[in-house]
This record gives sequence, C-alpha cells and structure tokens, in this order.
Amino acid sequence: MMNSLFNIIFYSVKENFKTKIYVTVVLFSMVLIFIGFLLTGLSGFEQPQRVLVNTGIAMIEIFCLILILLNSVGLFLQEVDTKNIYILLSKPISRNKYILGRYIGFLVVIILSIFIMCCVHIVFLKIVKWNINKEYFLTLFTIFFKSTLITSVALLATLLTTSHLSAAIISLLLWIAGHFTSEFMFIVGKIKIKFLQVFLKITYYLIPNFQYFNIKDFFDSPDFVSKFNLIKGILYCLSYTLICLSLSCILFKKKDL
Amino acid sequence: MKMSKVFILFVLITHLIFTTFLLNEIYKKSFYSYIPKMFQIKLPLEKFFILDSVGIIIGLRKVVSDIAWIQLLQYYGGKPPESEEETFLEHITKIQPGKYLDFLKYVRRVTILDPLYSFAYFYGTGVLAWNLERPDEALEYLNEGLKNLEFQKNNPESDYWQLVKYQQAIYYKLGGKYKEMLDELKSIIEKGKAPHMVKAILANLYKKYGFYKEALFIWKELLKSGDPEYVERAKFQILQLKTLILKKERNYEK
Repeated sequence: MMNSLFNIIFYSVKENFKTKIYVTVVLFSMVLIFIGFLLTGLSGFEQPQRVLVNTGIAMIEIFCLILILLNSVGLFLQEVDTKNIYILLSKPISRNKYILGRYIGFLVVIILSIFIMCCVHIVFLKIVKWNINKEYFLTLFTIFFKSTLITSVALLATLLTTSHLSAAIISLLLWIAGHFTSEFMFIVGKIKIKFLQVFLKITYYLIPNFQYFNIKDFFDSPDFVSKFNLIKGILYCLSYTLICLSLSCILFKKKDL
Repeated sequence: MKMSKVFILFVLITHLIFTTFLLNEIYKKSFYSYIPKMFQIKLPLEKFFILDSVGIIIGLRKVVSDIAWIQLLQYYGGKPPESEEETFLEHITKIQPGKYLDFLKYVRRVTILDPLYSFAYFYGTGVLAWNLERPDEALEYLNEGLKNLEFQKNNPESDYWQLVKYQQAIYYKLGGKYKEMLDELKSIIEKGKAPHMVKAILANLYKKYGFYKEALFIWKELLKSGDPEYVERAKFQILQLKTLILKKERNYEK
C-alpha cells in the first residue's frame, strides 16, 4: 500500500528534476543570489550583509513559487496530455493516492530546492561574515509553509481549469492577494454597501493569508519574531492544505480519464 | 452515494470557512497587527510608487526597502539637487542647511517599507537634526520610529530607547543646551549602535565647541573602522585637530 505511494512520490521527484525548467530556475536563482552579493558594496560600509541576506531569502521564496507554477503544475497537465497518466492509473493505484503522491513529490522537490539555494546563500553569507541565526532557518521554514500552501492551491486550480496558464494565473493572483490581505481589509472597511462588504469579508477569510508566514520581512528583529507562533502557522497551513487536497481528490475522482 | 459526496463537500467548505476565520481572528492579535498598512500610510515618493507597491503586494518589502536604502545613500552621497556647485561627500564635515530637501521623503520611504529598520532611524534622525539643520523634520521622523518600535519598550537595551536618547539630544539642541546635547550624543555612541555618520557629527560638534581631544578620539576611531567614506576625511581631521590641540596648549602655557 505505502509502497505504491512512495513510487509515485519518487516518480514525481524524478520527473521534476529531469526538466530543463527546473535546472534553469535553480541556476538563475543562484545567479541572482550572487548579484545580491555584488550589491553589498552599494549598501554602505556599515550594513554590507543586509542586502545579501534579504535578496537571498527573497530569491529562495520567489524561485520556489516559480518552480511550483511553471514546473510542478505543468508536469501534472503534461502527463494528462501525453496520456502517460493512463499507464499509471492502469496499475492498482487509487486516484487519491496518485494526487497525494504527486503533491508530496512536489514538496520533496521544494525542500531539495530550498536546500540547494540555501547552501549557495550560506556560502555567500559566510564570505561576508554574517552570523547565521535561528531566525534565518525559521524564515526558510516559513517559506516552505508558503510553498506547501500555494502548491495545494495550484493543484486544485489545475484540476479546476485543466489549463496550465489559467492555473498559474489563479495561483499567482492568490499569492498576491494572500500578501495583500491587511490592505484588502482596509479597503473593505471603506466600502459603504453592506452586501458588498459582507461578500468581500468572506473572500478575505477564504484567501490563503500568506502574511502569516511572512517572517522574512521582519526576521532581523528578534522581539518581533518572538511574537510569531509556529504552531498556529502549522495549523493554518495544514488546515488549508488539507481542504485544497481533499477538493482536488474529489475533482480528480470525477474526471473522465 | 451522491448525497454523501455533497455532504463531504459541504463539510469541507464549512471547515474551510470556519478554520480560516478562526485562525485569522487568532492571528490578528499577534505579530501581524504590527505591520503598517500600505493604504494607511502615503508612500512618500511618487516616482517609486510602482516599485514600492509591487514590493508590498508580493511580500518583498525588505528587498524593496534595501533598494530604497541604496537610493537614499546615492541621493545623499551625490551632488545636492539644490546646489550648482559640484561636491563630493561634503556632508561628512560640513553642515548643509537648505540642501537635500527631499531627504525626509527618501528616508521615510525606507522605513515605510521596513518599519523595523532601526539603523535608518538613527541615520535619518542624525542627518536631519545636525547635518541638514532641520530638527523639526528630525523629530517628525523620530516619532514615526518610536511608534514603529514601541513593542521594544520593555527592553532597556533596545533601539527604542536609543531613539529616545536622540530625541533628548534634539530637544537639548533646540533649547540651546549644547553641553547636555553633546553628552547625550556621546552616550548614544558609547552604546555602539550609532552610524558612522552620527559619530562624525559628534566629532564635528566637539571641534566646533572647542573639545579638540574628544573630537580627535572619535576621528581616530573612524579611521580605525576602515570605512572608505571616512578614512580620508579622518586623516585630514586628525592632522587639523592635532595642530589645534598644540595651538591651544601653547596659548595655555603663555
């Protein structure tokens, strides 16, 4: 039983690593981290590491998002288009297990990508003599949470729209909206029409709130980070992901394949 | 069978609404509430509005704030837009009232994007109060910093209390109590969190009020730091101060 799940996870990871997009994206992220390293000279003598630390962390996050939107989602649809999915589903594998396996596979790829990019980043950070602290690793952890959430959303969007482009656009828009929730609520407060206000408030609660994990914008202040509750974060992420995955499973079961 | 599927879907959606609502409510009371909202604060420089907004909406505040910081250093390190003459890093040793009129906007932009960037508050306040001779603007900016760093209030070693010292120093300056102002600035520097700019300001003030030995000590420290912006100026100032000290001693002997 578990063996078949591991096989799908392994297959998913292998497929991801084989693509040219994956190699390009990871290499490009390293180049940009290096550019961050070059920019340290411009940020003043007293704060040379700041730019490198911030650029590196931001690049890790952005490239994880790009990987999810371009590679992982694309691969899933490609499998349907090339009919490879029939070979897999002809084996004694349930559709739920297939979705779960693919999803965990994507996450393994994300973990490995974060690890690779983080290693490159740490090398540069060591060159500029920046002390790597626990807040740095907490930030990477929250990037993984964000990726977990957006992957489940992207998977659901893929199954809903069956188009790579629209799935990527929906996920990207939700990513933006998820970082914009506080401002969104501010606008909602200004709206006078009651019905619209209630509708938008419901939308606010349904949008995945990525600001909850946005430690990277504040991680250099230990006082501030101490207010971040990791357990609540995991709870939110798990809850949202489980719902998206369950809906994906229902949709995939209904699919005429 | 169909009914059970509808039921599962209903339970899932109810769960989604309930959990996200509940967790949102819990989160609202935590660190999330400290983040300044974009629409509640006006972005100060219109020409960078698109860049700043994109940074905020895609969650890259800090990276854009770094870009804003570099742009601030370039603005203040370059020729003043209000002046015709070509100058290079003149602000290190000269007071420039009436110049760099957009300085407050530039520095405010940095901390709107990254409200916890204490170094920018120290730097901005120092420059506005003593280099550009605009203590009212310095106090205005400093108050924003105090508001954003208020959560550090319980820690006496925090940047919040360093900012309070800057505030006191500015009030001493406004009240004409220069000796007290110098002491306040000295205690800020001794804490080790002051930018080199503020150290240079204090050294210049010491020189202005005739405390040559104290000024010499600070310039020697700046020379030791190896900051390329200050090394040459420090060498020049050290020579000048040594001559002044000698002169003062000779006058004293006479």
